[in-house]
Amino acid sequence: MSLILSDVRFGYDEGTAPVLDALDLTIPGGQRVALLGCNGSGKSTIARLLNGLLVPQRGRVEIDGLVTSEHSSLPDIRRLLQVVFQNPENQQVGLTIFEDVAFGLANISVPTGQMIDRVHQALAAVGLDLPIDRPLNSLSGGQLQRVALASVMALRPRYLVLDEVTSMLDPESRGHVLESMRRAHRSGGVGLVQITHHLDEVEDADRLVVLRNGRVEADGRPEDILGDHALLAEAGLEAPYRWRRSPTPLPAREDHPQEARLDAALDGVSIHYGAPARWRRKHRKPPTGRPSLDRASLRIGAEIVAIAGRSGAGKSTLVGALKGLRRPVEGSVALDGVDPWEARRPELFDAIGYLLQRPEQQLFAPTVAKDVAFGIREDPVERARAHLAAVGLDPDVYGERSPFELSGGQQRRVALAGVLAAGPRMLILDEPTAGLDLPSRTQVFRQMADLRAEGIGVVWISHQLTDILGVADRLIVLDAGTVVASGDPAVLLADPQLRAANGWPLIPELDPGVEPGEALRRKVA
Amino acid sequence: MEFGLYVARDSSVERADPRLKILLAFVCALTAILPVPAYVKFAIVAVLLGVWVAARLGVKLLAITLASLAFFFVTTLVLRAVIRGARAADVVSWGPIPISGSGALDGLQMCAQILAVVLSLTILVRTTAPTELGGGIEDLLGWSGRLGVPVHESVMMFTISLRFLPVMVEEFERLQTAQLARGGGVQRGSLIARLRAIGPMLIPLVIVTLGRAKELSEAMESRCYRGDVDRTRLPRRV
Repeated sequence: MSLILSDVRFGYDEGTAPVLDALDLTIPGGQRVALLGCNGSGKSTIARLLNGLLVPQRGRVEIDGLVTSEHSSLPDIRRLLQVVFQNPENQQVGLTIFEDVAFGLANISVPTGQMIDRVHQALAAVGLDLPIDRPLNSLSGGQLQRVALASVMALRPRYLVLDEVTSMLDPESRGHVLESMRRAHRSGGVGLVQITHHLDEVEDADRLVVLRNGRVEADGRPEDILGDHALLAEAGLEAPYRWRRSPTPLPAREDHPQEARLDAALDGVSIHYGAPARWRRKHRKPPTGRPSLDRASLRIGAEIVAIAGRSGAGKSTLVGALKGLRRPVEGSVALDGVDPWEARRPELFDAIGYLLQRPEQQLFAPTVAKDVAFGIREDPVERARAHLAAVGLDPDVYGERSPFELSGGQQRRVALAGVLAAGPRMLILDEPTAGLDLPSRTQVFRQMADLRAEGIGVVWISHQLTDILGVADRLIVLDAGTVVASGDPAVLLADPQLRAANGWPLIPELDPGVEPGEALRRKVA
Repeated sequence: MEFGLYVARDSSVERADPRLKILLAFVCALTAILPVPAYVKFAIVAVLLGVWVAARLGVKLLAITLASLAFFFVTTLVLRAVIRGARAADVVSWGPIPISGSGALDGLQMCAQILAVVLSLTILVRTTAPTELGGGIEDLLGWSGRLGVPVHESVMMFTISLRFLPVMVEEFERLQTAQLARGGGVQRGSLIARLRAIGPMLIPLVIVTLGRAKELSEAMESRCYRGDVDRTRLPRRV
């Protein structure tokens, strides 16, 4: 009873180097193993090889003795081994929780009469307490991911492969999904293969396997692997805070004091659900909806300001007000002291760049250079090249390639270059590090520090609390449309009341019992 | 619960077997457009209105349905009554306009048959959850699968597209904001400029949709889906 990959080679393209090469790995039943590696290390390919969605080009993959390259074994293999994928929205088949969980049951010929019981058992196994006729489009991302987990648990697999299942979730939902996963492992004795680059999620695994360049780089107990900083750095991984001696240091704001290129302020701004984007004071009727932003005031200069809060707390509305996408119903916006709405000068908002979530999905042009040049009015070719170089992509190498050939991290940099090309004097970033591994995240952090050094303020919406620490100068916390706190991230993230209200886990480094790292000590002092 | 046109209202019509509802809806609609006596058509409309009440679909929805057909009703009635009136035997003059009684009846009958078709289909889709509707169609047309008609696949595609439509709309709005934030976007400029601005949104939308479709098919395959092979049915109510 085990999963065996022996001498596996797999590549997506003929010309390029294979993603996996001569990979040997055996995972006994019932074990909880974490597969770790940076973006492009072949982790997700292993998930697809294990359940036969992909077949190795050399070597073999065996699930309890069944070989995945035997087409006739696939139905049996998939009853033994189930996979949950990264994006919860893209793995829903039914319209309601029941339909979705029962989809797999119908496929394996479970009699109609037993389905309701099996669905309830599966939901209990992941600790999800919701009515089974709830439509999926009313659920949050975290709830959807737990439904996905229940859907595969309903099939009573012997092995469960989780492919970066928490990477698109906020910290509270991540906690819930991880708890569901641990519960399934403990109670069902299911073997877990957890694919991730978040090492704080795997400290309690039985075994950690580090992948690098398509091979197993290291394989051992968590305490051995997590303490080996040289190994983790080589593999592009970041040790959890507890295991980290010194966080990646960034140039501090004090090192480059700068006059802000743009001084942006919101003064008592309210925006209501359902109010038109271009709301006018002359509208006779006051808006009827609940405010999604409620008398919010803030001021942003040449600094990195992180914005945190639950889904629906008003983060997007807040940055929408700054960028001029939504006109305040009450209160005013001031860019360098001028309210663009009152002054009837909407072009003033062009001074603010805005990079939306998953910007790599918004690329459209046939070449990287053309995509970056979109929106540059003067001398687009030369300036596009300069901006590509500024985000660390050589224009000679990447300029004429299609943006769709690049890796996810590179695509995100192209999108950032496209926004920077418009010459913003302030930048809004919505979840710029989601799904990126440590090297790519560090690149983003450096970019933010560089912008700050040029006097460009950065407004940064983030779910990843550990990212904020040591990078952001200030944290603004939103709750139900109100700014509830604004201050030093290290102080706010440790605040018991804010943590309870937002469902934040305690970041070990902020735990008084743990010796703080150097960068943090600098900030707190 | 709300999907597409269906809203749960807990009525006896809603609880009825979807196969029965599909059959009855088609019998009503078909009978009404066949050359049957006028009173049969009026009777069908009356019965359907009764079902409408039993289904708790409400007066407002009925008013909207009738209003959307009003233009058609009025023109049909007027044209039938007046045109027939110009040459029929039973002409009553109303000022300078000749009106025919039999023409008016004929017009009413045409209105009734259209109304019967609209009402029966509206009742069907408004009281049957999409999955039940799909299951019903699959049951009724299952035999044609043996002739090579992909009934199961079509029904599966129908339910999945219902689930993904709102996601795609959201995606489109996000792309629009992104283009707007980069100085493009469809909300500014002349008509031609607006049309041209759709291109940069269509390309990523198609790519994202294809990506979603691929991931969904992988998720379905992983969960042991093999088309209609040995699949059991979901219970109709939970």
